[in-house]
Amino acid sequence: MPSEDRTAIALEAIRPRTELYHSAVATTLEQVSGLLAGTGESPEDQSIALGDFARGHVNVERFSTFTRGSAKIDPSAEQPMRAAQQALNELLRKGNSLFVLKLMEGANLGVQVAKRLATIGTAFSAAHVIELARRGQFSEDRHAFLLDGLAFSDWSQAERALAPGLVIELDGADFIPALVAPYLDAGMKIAFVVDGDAPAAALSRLVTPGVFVQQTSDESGLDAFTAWEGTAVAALLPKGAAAFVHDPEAGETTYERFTTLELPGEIRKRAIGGISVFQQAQDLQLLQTLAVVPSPSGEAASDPAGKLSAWLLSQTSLAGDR
Amino acid sequence: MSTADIKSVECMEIPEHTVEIITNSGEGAQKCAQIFGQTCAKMGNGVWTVEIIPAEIEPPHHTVTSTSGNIIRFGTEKITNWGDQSKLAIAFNDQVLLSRHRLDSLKDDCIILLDSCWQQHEDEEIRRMYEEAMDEMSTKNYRFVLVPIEEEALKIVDNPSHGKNMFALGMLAEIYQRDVSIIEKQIAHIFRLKPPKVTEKNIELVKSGIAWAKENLDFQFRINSIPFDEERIVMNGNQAAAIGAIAAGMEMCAMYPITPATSVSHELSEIIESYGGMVHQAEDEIAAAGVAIGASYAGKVALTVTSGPGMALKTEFLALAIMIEVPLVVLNVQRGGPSTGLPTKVEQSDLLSSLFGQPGDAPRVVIAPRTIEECFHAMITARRIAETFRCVVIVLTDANLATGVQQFTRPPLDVRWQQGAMDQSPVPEGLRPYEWDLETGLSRRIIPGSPGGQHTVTGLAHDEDSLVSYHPSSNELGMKMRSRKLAVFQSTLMPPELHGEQEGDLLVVGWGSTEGAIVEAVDRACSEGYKVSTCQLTFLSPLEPGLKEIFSRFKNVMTVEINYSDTPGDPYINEDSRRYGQLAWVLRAHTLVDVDCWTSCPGQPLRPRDIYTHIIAKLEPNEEGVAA
Amino acid sequence: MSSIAISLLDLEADSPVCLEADDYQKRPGKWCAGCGDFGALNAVKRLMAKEQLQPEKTVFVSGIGCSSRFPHYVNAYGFHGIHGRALPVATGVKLARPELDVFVTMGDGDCTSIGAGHWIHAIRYNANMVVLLLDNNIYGLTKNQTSPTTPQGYASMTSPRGAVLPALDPLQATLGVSNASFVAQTADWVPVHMYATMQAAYEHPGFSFVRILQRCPKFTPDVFQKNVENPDLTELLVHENGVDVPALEQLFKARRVHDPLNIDDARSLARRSDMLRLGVFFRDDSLPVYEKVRAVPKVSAEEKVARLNKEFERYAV
Repeated sequence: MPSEDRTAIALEAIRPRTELYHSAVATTLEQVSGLLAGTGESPEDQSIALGDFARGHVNVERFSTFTRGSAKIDPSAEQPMRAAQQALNELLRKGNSLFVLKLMEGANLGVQVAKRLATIGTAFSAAHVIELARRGQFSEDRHAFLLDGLAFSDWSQAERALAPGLVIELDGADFIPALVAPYLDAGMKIAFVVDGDAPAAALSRLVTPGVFVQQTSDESGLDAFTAWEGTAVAALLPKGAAAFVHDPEAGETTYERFTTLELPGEIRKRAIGGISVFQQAQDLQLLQTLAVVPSPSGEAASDPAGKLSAWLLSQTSLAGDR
Repeated sequence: MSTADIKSVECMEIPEHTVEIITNSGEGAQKCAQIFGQTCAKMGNGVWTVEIIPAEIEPPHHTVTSTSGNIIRFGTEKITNWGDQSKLAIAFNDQVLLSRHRLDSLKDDCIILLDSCWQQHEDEEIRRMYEEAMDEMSTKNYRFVLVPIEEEALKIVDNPSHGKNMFALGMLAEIYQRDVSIIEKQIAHIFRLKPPKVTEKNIELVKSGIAWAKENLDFQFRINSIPFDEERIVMNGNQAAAIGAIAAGMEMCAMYPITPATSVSHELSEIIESYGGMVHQAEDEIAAAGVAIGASYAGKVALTVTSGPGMALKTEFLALAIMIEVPLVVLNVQRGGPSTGLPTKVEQSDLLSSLFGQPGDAPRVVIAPRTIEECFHAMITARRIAETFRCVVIVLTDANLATGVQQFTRPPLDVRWQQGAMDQSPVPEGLRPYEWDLETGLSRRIIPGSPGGQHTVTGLAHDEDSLVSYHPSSNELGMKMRSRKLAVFQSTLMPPELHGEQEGDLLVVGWGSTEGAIVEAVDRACSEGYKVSTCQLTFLSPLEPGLKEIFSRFKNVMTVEINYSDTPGDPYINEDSRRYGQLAWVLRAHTLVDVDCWTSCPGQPLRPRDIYTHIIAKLEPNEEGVAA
Repeated sequence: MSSIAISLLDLEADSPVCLEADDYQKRPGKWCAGCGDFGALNAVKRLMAKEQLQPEKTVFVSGIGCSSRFPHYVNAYGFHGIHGRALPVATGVKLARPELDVFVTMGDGDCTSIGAGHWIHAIRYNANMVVLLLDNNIYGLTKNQTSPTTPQGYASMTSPRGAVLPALDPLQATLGVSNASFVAQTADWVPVHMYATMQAAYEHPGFSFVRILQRCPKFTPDVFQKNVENPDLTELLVHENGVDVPALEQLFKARRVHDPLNIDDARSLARRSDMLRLGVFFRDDSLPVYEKVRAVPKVSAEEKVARLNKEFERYAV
């Protein structure tokens, strides 16, 4: 399947998140428009707002004398509010492209994600600007920068709960998912669409007790990722990659949470881009430690986790092969 | 009365034609007419369509009461009304045709394409009915062409009821030289949700209609079109109002099904959710008003859509909205009344109840779109007025606009139409919920969510603090302030424009959907040398200014309306007892001018020729002083 | 029209002012001394303080009648509408602004007589709101006319020889409606129970119908006299998912553990006239809530224009 199609599937998988974000921005815009009503509207604005039915019947000039006096904000608040309004509108204009990050080959995943999230965060900082302006506390010197973006680290917990999620298209050689770990909080959902050769179990580094983690090459399987109400990360890999799901609700211990599994053939022992064989082996060993059922006999059971650990053990011979 | 022989085809070039498709209910006349009308519009013709709908869903077939059909008037120039009589008709049986004959809908020399299967029908009763019908219609010089409609349709489909309409469409396409590719596209669109086979069959039927007409008919009509370079859309008034409501930024339509308003909610239900809105089908008309008022109160100007009987039920709630100054848009698609009246038919009988329908003094704005295009634009203006003046705006359309299809300039959509007042900023300390500007009656609307603005709105008499108050002065102040807003709005209105000379012997005043027919009648009279002008009012509460002065420039003023008024000369009807048409009532009271009226409530739109006749009668009364 | 329409302007932390119960009272209630409405107002104030409801984000909707004056006395937004029509208004408020907390107060005439049609349908919509039926068995404001809940035989100005028909039972009626999700009964002479019931009603996500039995000091002062005097005639329905007030154990000996999820038991308990029953008869938090079911994402003005322009293609000539 071409990566555009997989990107569409990944976008669909985070749609509840992106809708929530878009919806919040649109709601905010409606309120800003309410705040700005009666402020700085030109006669032409008034005339158009009144609609064509009024043309030839209503003297718009006169009509607007009754709306003009209704400004609710201080004149000094208008400019920053309009700037914030524009910033919010621009975010909406980007549509879903705001949530799709296409990583150029060799680009740093962490840096690019931080940049994109800062852009997304403009919605929150624009809201701050509106509030500051409304309260008469906005200062061009001190606050204008807010409309240039808001780093994820500065998002409040309530804002993080509105994180729309990201679809990240990248080359297998750049697939170092651990770089997005700082952003896995609250409502964040990240779906990687990976092209070409990719490390087999890189996603294992993101397995933490509260995060839903899924690696798959079957695009139809993202329902659980979508349904999960919380932080989640998924990777769509080319066919033949390992597939597993870490579902935080599936059990108390890590190995219980590994619920499904598809195993690839043997992994080729070679570096992929800058990701060395050792690093790949570390991914696998980590997955193994997470997935292995602690059994006194050391025998892998027939459950999925057991199968996974058995398979992992068979692959770990590449350990140390630098 | 026989199938036409194959002859050389005569093609007449004409400026316009009126066509009727007359069928049993359920035989698809509307679909056929819809496609034909749209095709004409797409080819650049002016179009106006009128539905003929029986009250029942599917009354017994082959009776005069089962008539379902559609009238399409189209021409080179813009068409503004359904005209006088039809010049060509396609009838699926003699009985439905007879019903149109009895209503005097067909021109004396109307060409009638009638299904040939009834004349020699095996059922003796049907043959007898056929003969009687033909006999009754023989008073006119109709030109009958018998067409094996059912027989031809059966060659393609098993159930002719689902095919004759497309065969008829094919005949019309050939007679009027329509662009078949447009028809095919329309068919494909209409049946887009059905299997492709359905589209194919329908196109096959159209083609067989074309082929039959080509082979058997010896006449054709050419109606040219004027090229246009603006973008146009074609839709009916209910669709226009529905889309207008969305364009106006309204997100809540609360309604209860009522003909002929319901299709507004059909259109909205189909699309409004992708605009962040919803249609709430309430448990009754009252609740629909209540939900709309609740949503409006909470900050989002809402719409409720209804017709006369529903308006009656909403009465108390509308008074509440007026009393607490919650903005609200009410669309009343008028039908025939009183009581259940004529659900599917047009009337303009809700003017007075819309103006005065509430107990107590309840000032509100009433506007009346005149065209389908205005049905769209009126929603934007209605919302703006409602919000600016914290008032109820009633938009009066009617069944004629609701179901009529017309093309108009594609509205250039503008975000400013949606500018909202969803303002939840803190309320300054000391600002009272009804802090009326004593000059204008205007006050800032405070919606829930605004810190510091907590207050309780009440339908009881209240003071500026929204506290229940029975104090004489606070009651009078509230009355004054609610009424003042209307005067203030009126001060922004401009006098209506006249069609025709600025002075003369007669001014015909109309409102709403009758504009096209009135203008056509007035133009006819003018072309014969009569000094008649007309103006069509759109703002009915408050009334457009300057009426008294305008009226003073004419020897006579007369309203033309689709509602009831007593006819002078009828038993017991005299100067003292005569009840006037509704707009005439209002204008007489408002201007103290002796405004006369000619009104009619036949359950169908007015005909230009009838209006013309009464214009002439007003100007040249015969001995009885009534129309000849 | 969307419960996912959160405004970014609402995300800022609210001022940490802690409101006390009395902060939720806007002005003193102007009911007759001894009116049951005072008790309901007190319980509501306590509930609001417990939940720290923001006054500007809370709306009280009422109809007409003594109990419908309720909103005027609460520090919140209020809508004192018309007789019998509180529920449609409240539904409209909730649909337009799902983030607001909505309370409805109605009298027995308001709810079960002139507004009965709306009552049935509002139960079915199951919009998330607390609905208080302040049932004193009589029309008070219009001075002593029989209401649907007036006990058979009880005299009034319109039934001087006593109400002729058996009283309508609001609990049975509510429990009979599809999608009913919370039905409880409490009484003005057991304030602790009333508060606990309101608490449960507020916590329930859906249409929480609470019938409050109360006395009109003017016209029905004695209507619950036997129960007021003898607690043994009252049975408390207790359950961890309903209401269970340990403090009442001493007073009310008749206690029945009733799982509010059991609709059949709820209906049969409501039907039985052997005792007066207070508690949560039915509660199902899983039923569809109207404003949630209807929620769609908010769309910006610009986006609407873009979509409408596409819509016009359908009608293009």
